[in-house]
Amino acid sequence: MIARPESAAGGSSLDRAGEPDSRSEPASIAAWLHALSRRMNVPASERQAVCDELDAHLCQRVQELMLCGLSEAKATADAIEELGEADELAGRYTQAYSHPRRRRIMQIGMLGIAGAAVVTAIVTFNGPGSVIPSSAFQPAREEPPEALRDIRVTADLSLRWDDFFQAIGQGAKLPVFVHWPQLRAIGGEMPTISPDNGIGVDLQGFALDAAITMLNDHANLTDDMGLAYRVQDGRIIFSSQAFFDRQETVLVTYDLTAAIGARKSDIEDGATTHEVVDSIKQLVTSLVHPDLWAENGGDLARMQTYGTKLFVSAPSRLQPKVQWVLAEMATAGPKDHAVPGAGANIGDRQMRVFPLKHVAAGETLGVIRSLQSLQPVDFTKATSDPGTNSIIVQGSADLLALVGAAIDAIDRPATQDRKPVSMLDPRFQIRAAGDGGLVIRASDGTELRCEELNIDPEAGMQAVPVGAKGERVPMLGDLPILNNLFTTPARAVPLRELPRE
Amino acid sequence: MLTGNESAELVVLSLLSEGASYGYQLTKDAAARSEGHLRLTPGVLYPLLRQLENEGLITSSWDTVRAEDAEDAGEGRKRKWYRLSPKGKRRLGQRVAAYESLRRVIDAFVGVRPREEGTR
Repeated sequence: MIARPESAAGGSSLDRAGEPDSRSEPASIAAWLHALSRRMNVPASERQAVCDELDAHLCQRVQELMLCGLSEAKATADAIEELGEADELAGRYTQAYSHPRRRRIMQIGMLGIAGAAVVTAIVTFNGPGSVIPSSAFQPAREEPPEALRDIRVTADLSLRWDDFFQAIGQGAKLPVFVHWPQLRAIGGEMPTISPDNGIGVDLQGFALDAAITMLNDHANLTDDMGLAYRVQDGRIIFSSQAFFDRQETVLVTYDLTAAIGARKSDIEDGATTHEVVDSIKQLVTSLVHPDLWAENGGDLARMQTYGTKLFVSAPSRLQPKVQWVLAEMATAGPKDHAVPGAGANIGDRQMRVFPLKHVAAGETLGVIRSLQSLQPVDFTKATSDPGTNSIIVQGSADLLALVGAAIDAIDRPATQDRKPVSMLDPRFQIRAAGDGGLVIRASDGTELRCEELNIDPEAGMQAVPVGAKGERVPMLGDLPILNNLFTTPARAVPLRELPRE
Repeated sequence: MLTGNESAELVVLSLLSEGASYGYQLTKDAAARSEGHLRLTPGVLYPLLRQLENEGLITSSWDTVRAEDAEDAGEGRKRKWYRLSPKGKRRLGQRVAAYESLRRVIDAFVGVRPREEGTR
């Protein structure tokens, strides 16, 4: 046991008013602990525990420095200096208490940082003129629903949370439902979002998403753990991101054959397949929202492997990122190590995430699947993510460019000029062309000659035009999708945009 | 000297995997184990311990330390002991595996000699 310095003995107890017990501590330690205590935004019961622990540290350190020959005053000053500024330390404690699972991405571990560096390197060395490679993950912006898109939030920091949510609802002309228990739970022992608390931030003309980001940041919350909203059944629902994540959890399987194949050299060097799979899982859980994985202490995402299958149960917004990381790993090995079969051409394939702004990803995927000119695309590996409203497609760079062009043509805002095109619309006439083809004629005289009409009850109706000499007319430029199933004008193409023969 | 929690977490969990310890001892162990190259500053260590405890990676308990030469059994100084939890043990395993993966990656680069000019 080490004796406590004579003048430092007595503990760090605070009186009822939070003042240091000056009868038993040297003024410098007591004052420093008191200053720290006042600055920490942690529960009162915890302040005492923090001060007790730091007091013990300081006393032991002072004693050690005195044994080295320093005077007690000098030793005390040095020990306090080692702890740093009270403001800074109080901020660290406040952050440590802010949420049990809240950790910054910077704290995910060395591999996470290395992984990010590797991604950066991929971007950097992909070649001139290609700052962002087509295979890089593009974080999809989650567009706010139309009713909320134009809202601008202006609020005083003293505005009550309840009033804040109601004002959003009034602005959007939508009823509001607030999950108060979920929101109170965000702050752990220090709920910051409760009906009568002020929002704490001055907002001047912010879009709703930006306002929520600022509010989360002010509350020291990450986007993974903070406030979020959805529009469901015609209501705006405010709750925690974790709540929505639980609602939107999906189970997805991924084939690891190609990613394992890219590590063939490691296996040849003695690594087992199990070790390679473990390292793949490590990379995913280190890079993709690390705080959420059960493997890292989270409770929103988990993964298991069975053979070369990876089962990932996670919020839908995570799945595109998981898929992208795995695809990148699949292309990480030397070309001559490509795995025959499923992974044979993986080095030439890329994955791309197409975020959509104006139309639903699921329906759009159905449309582009039906395009004849995109039939070479392996749509069995394509998926849509409703959480981020994006489409994920694998294929060669050329095919992905075609897919991108098709999506660009479809993903357009609704305008007054664009009207739904329906094959049932009496303005259109369909007649046989005499050579086995079809001619679609609009009321304005525009005609489109087609060799076939593909009608897919799920994907809509598609006309495949041919030119005067019977050649296939490139479709993507004008996107002659004639669609009688879609109800949103934004997805329809007016016939006058179709090419004349 | 460590300035980031990412490395400090790995070090703290590693030290606690060897047995229960307390803050001051952890700073000493880290310095001794690294021959003085690694300094866990108390300003980083204690908030980190609080965070790890909040996450359930470590557990804590208090005991009272009395001076050896104390004549009576009066009030001593509190000391907070930390232990690695099963969850913390799993986290440590992941961190170690991640670190080893990183080391393999880096090793693949630092062993490469620059090409001589004129060679292809």
